[in-house]
Amino acid sequence: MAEINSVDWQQGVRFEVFVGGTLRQLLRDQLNISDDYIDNRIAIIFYDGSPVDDIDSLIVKDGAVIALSSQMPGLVGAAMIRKGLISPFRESIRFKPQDREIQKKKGAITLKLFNTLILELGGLLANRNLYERVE
Amino acid sequence: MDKILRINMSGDGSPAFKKEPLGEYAGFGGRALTSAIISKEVPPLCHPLGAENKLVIAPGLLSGTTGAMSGRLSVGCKSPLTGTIKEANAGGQASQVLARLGYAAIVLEGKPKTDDLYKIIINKDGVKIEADNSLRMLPNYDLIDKLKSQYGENISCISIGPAGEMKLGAASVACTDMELRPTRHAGRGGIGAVMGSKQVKVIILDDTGVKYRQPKDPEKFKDANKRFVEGLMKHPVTGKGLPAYGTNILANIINEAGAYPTYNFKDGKFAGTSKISGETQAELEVKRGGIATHGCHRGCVIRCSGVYHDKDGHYLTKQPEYETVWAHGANCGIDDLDAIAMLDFLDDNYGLDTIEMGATIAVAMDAGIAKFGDAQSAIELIKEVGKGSYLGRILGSGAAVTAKVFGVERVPVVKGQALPAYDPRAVQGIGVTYATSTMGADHTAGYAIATNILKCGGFVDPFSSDGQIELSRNLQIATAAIDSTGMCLFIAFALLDQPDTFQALLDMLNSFYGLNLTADSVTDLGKNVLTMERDFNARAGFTKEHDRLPRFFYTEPVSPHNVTFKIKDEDLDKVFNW
Repeated sequence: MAEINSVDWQQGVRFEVFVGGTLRQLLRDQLNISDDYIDNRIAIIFYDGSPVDDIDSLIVKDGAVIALSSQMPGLVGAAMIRKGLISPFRESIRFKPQDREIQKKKGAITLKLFNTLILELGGLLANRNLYERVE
Repeated sequence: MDKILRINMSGDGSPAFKKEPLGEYAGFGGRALTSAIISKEVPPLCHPLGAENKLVIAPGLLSGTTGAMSGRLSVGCKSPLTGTIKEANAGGQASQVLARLGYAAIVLEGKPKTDDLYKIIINKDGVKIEADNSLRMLPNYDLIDKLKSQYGENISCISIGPAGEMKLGAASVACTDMELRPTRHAGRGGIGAVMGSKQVKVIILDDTGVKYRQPKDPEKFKDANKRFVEGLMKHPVTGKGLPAYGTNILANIINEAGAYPTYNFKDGKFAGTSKISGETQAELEVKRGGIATHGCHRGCVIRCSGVYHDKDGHYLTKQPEYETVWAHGANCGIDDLDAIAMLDFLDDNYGLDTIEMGATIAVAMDAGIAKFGDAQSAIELIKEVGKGSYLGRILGSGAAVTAKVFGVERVPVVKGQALPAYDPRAVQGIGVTYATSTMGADHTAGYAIATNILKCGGFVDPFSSDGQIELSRNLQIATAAIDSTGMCLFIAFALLDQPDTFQALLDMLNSFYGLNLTADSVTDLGKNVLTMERDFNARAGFTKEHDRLPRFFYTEPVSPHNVTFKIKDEDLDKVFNW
């Protein structure tokens, strides 16, 4: 497969993973991103287009679209930060936990990387050989 | 920086000037000074283009020093676009040079009795005001080229393009950057039209032979500045993200959140975002021999700007900013960076606000004048403004006028000024600021995010409606204060997360002026500025009913979250209760 470029990451790359665990478990245990990096560099996370505050309670479902970003400028950029001071500004679109139980099983997610995370994580994740581009 | 230069354009025979001490305005800089002068001296019911209005140009409190990030220039007046008080600010070299020449403000007053066009030359030897009709209707780039050949390369210019001369509501005031290009604009509110009404084409500043302003305590100032710069450099936004990708780093994030206004605020996501994002833009700039990391003035350490080259590797424009790329891109359905860069260049050249013009072109597309996504038509429409055709003059008057002329109902404006690049239905808190800002819809009105200021109002549940109101209030207070220092607003991110960086900024101000400012003093300054501005607007006839978003935000859900704006009017009315 050809190298994944910046636009590919922005549009999303599909990973085969086990779903049904927490978002932190997915990032740490399956994508091999350290807790330190998750907590200190990945400031903004979107799950199916909604900003996420608590990655330890969010259970990942099959087909989810997950986007990761470093800290952003601007008032609205700052509002997207996980548990940030002005996160209430985007209360109407924040991710709300699901009611139904999600089974643990093999599945797939689409992962998007933005800005500096493309450089910092893109190469490492691309080496996992579990992906395909999303058209 | 201890005097005000007042230029009376109505002088008998020719304009006359006088220099005055700061007097009652001592201690004010930037937005605080422009708003204090306008609020006190301009009749609120005057016509914005009449002799009674004044145009105030003021460096910040730390401009002209060796302090980092201190190069914002505030320009204030009664706005022809909104009818409210207005302060717009810009980077570039002008603020630093004007401050070093010793001026806390230039105030343009009155109106010439003839139709002559003037240039004002200010250097260490004094002030000259000369009629020069050869400059008439020159676009900004051509104007600066002409002035360079006459005055050399060691000048900085504050100018208007044809839009300002035509007194259009979207006209900006341009400041030249380090390369002497007219790329930095005080864009909002039609302030270029007020400069045009004074018949001043350009103010030429030359600080040859003038030194940096000296602090009262040089050692303490040097130390505070060092800590301030270190704080900016270690923060992920100001030290990494902004330098690498510029402000357009936001495009993907706001799009992913469903808050990226698309097709004149019909949708919250744009399919072509990855083609116009900051990440893609930076790659393209480097590939073509441009620059992805560049400051807009000397002393800028964040360097969020850049240089955009065309396909042949020639300079086209400075790196278009997030708001510009959104306004001319997603909002018009255009996913072509070269077309957006051309629109940015044309806006700068004619002297137009890129946010207002992007919003206007989208309204024109809603009216059927061009199709969404048709980049070439968008370029032709901006060229109409430069030509001064009847259609161009309508478009150059902004989104509200264009919508009225062509019968468009979806008009994204507050108090006549176009909304910036964040949909207030998805991010309701910014809707509070858009609605209640003293300036019309303005994303920078509530931008400064300092933790100790945010917490100053006591605890209110931030997720409640009251909490959103309180957040917006405190953000607007903090922003008004930072706008008065002349510091770039992008320092706000480091101030939010790093109390020691906030303290370093206070220490810079204290050591420079021999003061003892605290976070409370900053809050008081911000409140004072907002109180003056609110008072002017009230006397100009503005009431709480003007502090509202356009109706469609309450009635039309925006995809993908299908949300409407929910903050109640009675809550909006509490923003300025303190």
